[in-house]
Amino acid sequence: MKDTIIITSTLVLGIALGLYGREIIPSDISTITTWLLYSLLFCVVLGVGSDRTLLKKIKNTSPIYLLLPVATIVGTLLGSAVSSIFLPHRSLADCLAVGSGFGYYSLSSILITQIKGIDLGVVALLSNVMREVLVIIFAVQLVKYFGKGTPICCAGATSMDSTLPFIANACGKEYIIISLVHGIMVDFTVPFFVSFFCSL
Amino acid sequence: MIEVILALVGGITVGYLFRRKRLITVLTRLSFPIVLLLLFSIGISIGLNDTLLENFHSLSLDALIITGFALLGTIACSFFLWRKVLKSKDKEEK
Repeated sequence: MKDTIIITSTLVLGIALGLYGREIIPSDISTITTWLLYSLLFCVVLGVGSDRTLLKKIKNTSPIYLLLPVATIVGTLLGSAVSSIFLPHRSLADCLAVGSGFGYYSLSSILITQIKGIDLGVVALLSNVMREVLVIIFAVQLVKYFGKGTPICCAGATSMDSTLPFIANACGKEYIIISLVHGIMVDFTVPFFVSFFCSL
Repeated sequence: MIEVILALVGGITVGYLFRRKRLITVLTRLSFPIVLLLLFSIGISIGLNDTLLENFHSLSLDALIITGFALLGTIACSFFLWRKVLKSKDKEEK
């Protein structure tokens, strides 16, 4: 939650600077953004390559729980595809690109901004922030009405970090590893799905 | 697109090759400050974009509709999975 507040405040500060401090902003801001994105991707996956316990964590989880990331991906993409019917000004690929952020708002909105422009990038940012916040608020109700897998799937890529404490609280401690593995797997698909749908 | 794949494959390879080095821990910790810098620069681009700010209400509505349907689809799939497969597994483990 603390991170979400810091992230939101940073974004708001940036917007304020863009609005009121135009004369001090460097002209090549989009090039800076692009290089920051590549550095972020590089740093994020360093952890995947260097984590010696990662394979062990995955091996120790009952393989049946590996169906959870499949449910997340299939459900999200189907839902996003249906949403395009109600948004005639957005293409099917655009809705799928936004949905395939799976809650990973920083990375997906940055990628979409770079490839499709700031308009869809902002939709992706807002959409993925909403996804995370809704899971944080409704995790307990999701378990009560739809079972213990639902808050994990709804959390998408955030089930490994920001929403993990709320999932642990709603589902129980034994779901922490499942939630972590789910988050890692979904998280890893984000750059690929987003780039793919943006290229259509 | 090719730069994105290069960054991903490069990061995993460097992470694996230098997995015993402290440098990796330091570099991994840099992710969050970079996220902040990125969001700051995106914020600047939003603030500079007058057309975007004029359309902010309609963009939030688009985001809400996509999120709503994406979550409905996810809930349907995970509920189905819970009822058909995971519920019995959960009871078994207890």
